[in-house]
Amino acid sequence: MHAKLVGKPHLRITCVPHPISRVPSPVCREYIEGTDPVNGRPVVDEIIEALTRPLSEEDKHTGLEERPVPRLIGPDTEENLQCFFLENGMTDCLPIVLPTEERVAEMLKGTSHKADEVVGELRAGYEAGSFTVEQVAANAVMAGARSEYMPVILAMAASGVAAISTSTQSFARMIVVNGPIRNEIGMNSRCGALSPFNQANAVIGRVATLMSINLGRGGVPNLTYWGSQGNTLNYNHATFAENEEALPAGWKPFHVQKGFKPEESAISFFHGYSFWHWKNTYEKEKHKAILHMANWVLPSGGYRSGFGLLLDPIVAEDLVREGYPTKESLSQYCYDNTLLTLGEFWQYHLVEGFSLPAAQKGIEPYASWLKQPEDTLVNRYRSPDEISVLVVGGKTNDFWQAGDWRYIGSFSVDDWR
Amino acid sequence: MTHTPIDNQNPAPGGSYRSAAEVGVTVKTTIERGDAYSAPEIYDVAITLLEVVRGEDAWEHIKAQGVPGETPKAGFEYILARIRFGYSRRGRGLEDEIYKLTEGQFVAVSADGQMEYIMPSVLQQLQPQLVDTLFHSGESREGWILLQVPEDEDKPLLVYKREHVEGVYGIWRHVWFQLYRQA
Repeated sequence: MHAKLVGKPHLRITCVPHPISRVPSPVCREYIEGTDPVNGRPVVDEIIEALTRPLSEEDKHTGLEERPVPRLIGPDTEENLQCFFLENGMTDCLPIVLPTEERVAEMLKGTSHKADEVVGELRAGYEAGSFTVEQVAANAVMAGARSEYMPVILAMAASGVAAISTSTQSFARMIVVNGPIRNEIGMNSRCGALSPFNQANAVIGRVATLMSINLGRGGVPNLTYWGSQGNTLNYNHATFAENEEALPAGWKPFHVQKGFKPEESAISFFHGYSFWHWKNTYEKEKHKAILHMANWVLPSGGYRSGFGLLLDPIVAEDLVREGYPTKESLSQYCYDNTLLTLGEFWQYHLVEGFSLPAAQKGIEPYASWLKQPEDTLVNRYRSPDEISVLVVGGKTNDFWQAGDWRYIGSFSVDDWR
Repeated sequence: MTHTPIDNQNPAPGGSYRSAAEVGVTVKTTIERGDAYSAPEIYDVAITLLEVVRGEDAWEHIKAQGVPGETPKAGFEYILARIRFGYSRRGRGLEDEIYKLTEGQFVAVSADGQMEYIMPSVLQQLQPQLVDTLFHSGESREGWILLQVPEDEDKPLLVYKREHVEGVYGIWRHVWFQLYRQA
């Protein structure tokens, strides 16, 4: 999988099912004696052939592949051009808005930055691609964006955070916008904010996926994308604005928690798999129900699990009444009350794969944990900061949703106005 | 000598052996920290080759620092590269990862980018030391790297490259510098 990155693009490879950590030896043997899940050929035959077939001239080629991107393609009919983009793997398989020169020029009016300015690099596959403001604008057109969304889209592009990863696990992102830009571009933070009823919410996350495919060189199943089942969130990555206007007194907007001023605009990324919805059932107090969810998140590799909590404003107000005057106090409560035993901790295969080797190398806290009894209690999360609290919704019901969302980082939108 | 390092064929200054950056030019690349199961953390790296000292001058510099070592192997001569290396997190996130610049990430390469020259063996690093030091986010420091190249290599290059243990993470693009002054 890393052959391209190490300059051997034609390295002969074979593939076996995942995972292989914590899998009994007989099963691993079955993998080797079985077939390659990508092409169905016997794995052993592939290995023998790869090691014995003489090298061709192509096999001897080293270095990363040069992939020139023409700025323009020739004119054609709407139908043919839609087919061109689709068949060349440049879309999310939904129809796109064709990025004509006129439309891209119009999109560029949404930023003061020049078309040929290099924005940065993105790595969604095995190699990073660098790109310009104009290339970002072309992807924004394709997704159906309006020019006023450009500062948010450019901030997303400049962050270097790709929306799609190479992992065999089917990750997605959650994307949250804070600050004045939310209202300037008409984002929805209220009723139905996570549903497809608002152009900015719908489109900004779609651009993230298109940029990962077209600029980050990712998103090709069995080549640069290996998520076994995939993830429907990859269509727009749960993009919404925080309902800052409905925050209870004392609860700060998320970007302010991360060091931005309230009058600044920022975009924040989270990494995870999914959401699940909840409402009070047998607990009378919401904070106790929230703990159930926070306790479901599995310890991850490197002890870096995250928990993202999306509260309707009604729920946020109830939590204030239950004794949580700030978001931070709720995060601290979840952190303090989601303990697990070391016996449980060491059982998770990602912990075994990442944290156990660290323990064996003497890296703390794992090294000390390895010496402690299995019934020793430790925190499920590395710190309270791993528990993110966001407020979104239209006060039509006291629901909330949460997921295994680990905060990645926040990036200035204003830098790209 | 070992086999070819990666050439990423990027025409921007420093992006390829064909467009290696001149002395004094700052080149940027990206380092991705993390692993496949947690959130990626993106760091910017800015590198400037500030000064190149070669041959007898380099050997005198080494001796002046009292670094125990040997004369270069037959047919080779030392090159000292003074480098400024900066490391900073992009955006704002959780705790910052410390970066350790390890030996072998800065390597002397032939003018055609095809051959890496083995690092000379010295018992200690020249001061100020750059290799095997830790960088916190926001930190930028200067230091010396000791290299060796064949005496007849007029226009050697310097490449900053990923470690093979980094998997798909680590340095996104190798960057290249001219280990000589333009005439």
